[in-house]
Amino acid sequence: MKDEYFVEETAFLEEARARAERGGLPPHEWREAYAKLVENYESLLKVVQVLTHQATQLESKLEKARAQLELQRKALSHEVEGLERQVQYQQREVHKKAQERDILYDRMGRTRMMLIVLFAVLLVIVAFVAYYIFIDTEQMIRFVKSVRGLD
Amino acid sequence: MRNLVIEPTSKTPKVILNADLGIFEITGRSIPEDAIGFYRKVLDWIEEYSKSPLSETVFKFQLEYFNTSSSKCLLDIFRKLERMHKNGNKVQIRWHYDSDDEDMAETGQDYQALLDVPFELVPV
Repeated sequence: MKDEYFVEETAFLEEARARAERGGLPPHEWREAYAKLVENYESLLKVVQVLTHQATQLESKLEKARAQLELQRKALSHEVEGLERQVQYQQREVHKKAQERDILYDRMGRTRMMLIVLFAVLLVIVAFVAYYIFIDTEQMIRFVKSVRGLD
Repeated sequence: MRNLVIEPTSKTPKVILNADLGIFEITGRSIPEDAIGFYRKVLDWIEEYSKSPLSETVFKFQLEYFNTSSSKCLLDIFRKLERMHKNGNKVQIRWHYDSDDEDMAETGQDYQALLDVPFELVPV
């Protein structure tokens, strides 16, 4: 795997390795090279420490966010269950109201029909009475007399 | 030299590197998948700038969140600024962070301890 993030460090390591393989350096140059290697190693170690610390912080943040999301998911799930129950209740209520409305419409229909029949009967009676009062008055008088026993 | 301005996105920070006005800042969040690809231009610009810098360079960092690979790139930027400082140039790094964000303050302290360059922590 080619690592683009540690190019300088990798190049330094390669150089140090090549120098060690070549050998033949006088003691003071070895000391210098070794001191440089230690310096770079120390620097790299500090970078690793910083990056590790930051990575741990990020993981901790992510874990907190994940826990929070889990809590929110549970709360939402609870809310959804409540809403579903409410919807079911409302559906039952609507169904009940619809049945009540149908019954009411049925009653209203029957009442309307009774009223129409009643009105028709009343109309027939009024027409009958009006006929004998205004058109065939003599017949009416005869009828009343017969009812009262005045014949 | 040409100034470098990179507009922010949801995953990358805003970058202003303006040698004419003496503004050097990186602000926002930095979570690109290819951090080195994003910061390459910044690192190259600083490398070029370090050849003939202003009498004083104040570099502002104000990041709200960044991933580990961005952190390594920031360290590379700091190293370049540190080298400028060691070469006798006046360089200062200002690490701005949300005063409620303890982690970001701690991160600034980590960098501060790691570098040999004036590094100021600025709570905002």
